[in-house]
Amino acid sequence: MLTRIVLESLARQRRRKLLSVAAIALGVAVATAVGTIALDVGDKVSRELRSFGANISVTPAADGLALTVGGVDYRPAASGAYLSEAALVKLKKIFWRNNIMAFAPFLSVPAEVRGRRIVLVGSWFDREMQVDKSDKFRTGLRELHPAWKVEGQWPEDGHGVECLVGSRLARALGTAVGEVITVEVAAPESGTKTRNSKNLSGAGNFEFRVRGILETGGPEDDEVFAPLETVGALAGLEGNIRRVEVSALTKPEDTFARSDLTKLNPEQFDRWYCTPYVGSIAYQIEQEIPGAKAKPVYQVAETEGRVLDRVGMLMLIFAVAALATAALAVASMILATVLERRVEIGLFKSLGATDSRVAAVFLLEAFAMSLVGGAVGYVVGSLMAWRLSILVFGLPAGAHWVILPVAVGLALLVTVVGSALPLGRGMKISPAAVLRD
Amino acid sequence: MTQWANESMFWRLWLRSLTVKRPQAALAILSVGVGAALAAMLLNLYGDARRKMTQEFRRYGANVIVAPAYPEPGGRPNISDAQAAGLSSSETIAGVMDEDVVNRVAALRNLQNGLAAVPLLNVVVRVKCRAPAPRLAEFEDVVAVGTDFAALRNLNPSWRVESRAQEGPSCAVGTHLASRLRLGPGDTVELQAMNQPPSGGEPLRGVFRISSVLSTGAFEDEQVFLPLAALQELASLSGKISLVEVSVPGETAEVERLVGELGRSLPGVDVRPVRQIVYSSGKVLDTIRWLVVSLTAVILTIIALCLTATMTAIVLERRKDIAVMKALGASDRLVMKLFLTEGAGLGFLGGLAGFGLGVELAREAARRLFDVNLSLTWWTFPAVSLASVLLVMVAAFFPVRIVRGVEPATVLKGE
Repeated sequence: MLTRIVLESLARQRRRKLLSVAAIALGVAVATAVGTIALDVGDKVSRELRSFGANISVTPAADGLALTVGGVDYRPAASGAYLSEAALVKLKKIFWRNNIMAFAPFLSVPAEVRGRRIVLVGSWFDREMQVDKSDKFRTGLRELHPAWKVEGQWPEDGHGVECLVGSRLARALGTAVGEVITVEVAAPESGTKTRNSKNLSGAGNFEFRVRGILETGGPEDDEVFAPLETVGALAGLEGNIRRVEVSALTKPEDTFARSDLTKLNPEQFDRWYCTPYVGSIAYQIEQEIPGAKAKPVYQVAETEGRVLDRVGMLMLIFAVAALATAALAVASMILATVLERRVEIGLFKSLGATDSRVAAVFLLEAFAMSLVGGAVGYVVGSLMAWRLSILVFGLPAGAHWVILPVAVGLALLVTVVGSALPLGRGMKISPAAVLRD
Repeated sequence: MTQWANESMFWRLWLRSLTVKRPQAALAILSVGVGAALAAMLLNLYGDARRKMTQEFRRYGANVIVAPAYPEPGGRPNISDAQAAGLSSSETIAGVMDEDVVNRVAALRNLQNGLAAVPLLNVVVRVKCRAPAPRLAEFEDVVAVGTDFAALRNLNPSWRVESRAQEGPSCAVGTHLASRLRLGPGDTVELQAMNQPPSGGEPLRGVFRISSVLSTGAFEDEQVFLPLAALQELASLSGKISLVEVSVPGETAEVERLVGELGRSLPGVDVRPVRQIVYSSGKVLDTIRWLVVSLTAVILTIIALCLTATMTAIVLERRKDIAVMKALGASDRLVMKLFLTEGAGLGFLGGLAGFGLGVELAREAARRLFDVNLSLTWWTFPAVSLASVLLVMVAAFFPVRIVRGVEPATVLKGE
């Protein structure tokens, strides 16, 4: 009998029921949308922050002192230690491989252009790397430094003869996109490095075509960037790199992240290792590439963490505000509909139903409505988050299943509480008074 | 009935509708209150949050670099000894300019409050370990940076520095250099210039005690930092600096304006914004602004929908009152006006309560989340109150049309 009454009640008065369900759906939709974005925002803003550049720098552990003046390493090419270019693929094999967003290798050699001493930097511009049989990874300077401005076009790695010229150097040389510059690379000192057949005449001149003018505001403005292979061959350093800059998505560091590794017990160490802190990613890189030293660039890593913290807090405020709004939306419509049902309560009671029986009918009804409303609201809210995320970040937000039970639970709670209050008041009214209307 | 009595009756009805206890009215006030609280909180907090974010972005360090214009071939200082050491002069000193530049940059401080400028001189020197017991008796080429170390640290708060106060001429060394030379705070280093002083004779030497070891993760880890005057003397480059690192507070537009200003006031010198800092932070701030605006819009829309429902309930519940008023000769317009004014009253009350709550919340949030004291923006009060009233009026636009459909005869029959 009870189920029949509830089913009948749901089937009748469709318009009013629909309004209630819509209210619940609306509330849940807002909560879901804001919740989804709040859960996603860290990841998204973190991606945006990647345009500040690398947050981990990898150098050979056995390296001597770099002579870096204004961001340029003036060491002779033959001195110091190197990493192998072939080891780069291992960066995508560490535990947090999916958090490695981009990286680029660097090999700087002193050179001369039109009687001017410059630094020729070999790197990857935009390259697709085969990680394993099925997995490819696209990386290079273009991915690593999205904030760099290139007038003209990025060179193709494959051609080997195209280069980028820093804007200040280009002005000084009076060169422009499309021209050819002759770069003279000093001979590798004392010929200790092995020279293979591929060697491009060693100390000779090499003609590069200027494909683009690079503007960064940093020391790169005075440099020439060319494909790594060409620079390696010119300097007699094939397959060697001096430095790798890695851009990784990280979790902001907390006090646990900075704890002394030697003092952690195995369980704590596992937790540290399995959290994408910048420190643990650097540690994993060192493990994977023998002879490498990976250091977080504090300037980038730390600032990023603090910015992310602030954004997270802002989102928290929004999530709370959204929950309040959702509860309000549901309560306002439920209240409006339940108050009008005093007549029904009076009828039930005059037919001999007990108070608990009446309450059961109304609460079950509310329960059914909140389930439907919650589910619809979740779907609508996820769609809203998806749209909003594309609008704001240019990337869709993923669906978060965690939110579904929360959303439906919220709908249930608000609906049941929202109906119980007016119901209690409705019960006190005597059937005779209500039915007279 | 005189006009005056008419007016008086209207306001009496209005006051009564506001004061009589009804759950719908309370709910309407609550809805507007939440909306107003949210708006007040976000409007007041947003300015602070944005300022705080901009401050956080300053932790990336200098966002503008002032350096000598690109040296012409042959126009560089020529230091023959450095060539003998296997390094050309351009590598020992990558172009210098007058120290006066830093004062002219700092003079723009009145234009932009909080502007910080630090001069740096980069010179390659040879370092010889002279620890209490010399453990490594060899010379190494290192880059010495002459600067005001304390100011440079303020510019780069993310650097990790281990310090111990020292007597006499002191220096700071990068962690990689320190570990390679096996030096720590308190040890001494001997630095030797690569070039002869202009007066001839042996290259100058200087002994410094290490007061700090710094760790940055970047190339600073391999440098040694001396007071500017000391390095100028050692390298015989008095009054010269290599570059000025400038940290300009504010957002992209302000930085660009200052770069233009600096470029005009310093001819012959290159003033460049550091693209990845200036433009990336602007982009991130824009993203956050969009996020805040769009989420607020979504929440306010939902609140407007709630209010529509509540206003519908208010009007429906009073169908009998409407019928009586209409039967007594009130026009549809007058009754609708009554409901709209009632809505405005509810909106104003909700707006007031919400503003108070919102400001309190914003104050708490500003203190706890951003460690700043909230600076109230005065115009948010009229803005929020007005917006709350408007919100209810808009929400009531459709519900009040119900008044037109009320037929006194049908509604009042049977009474």
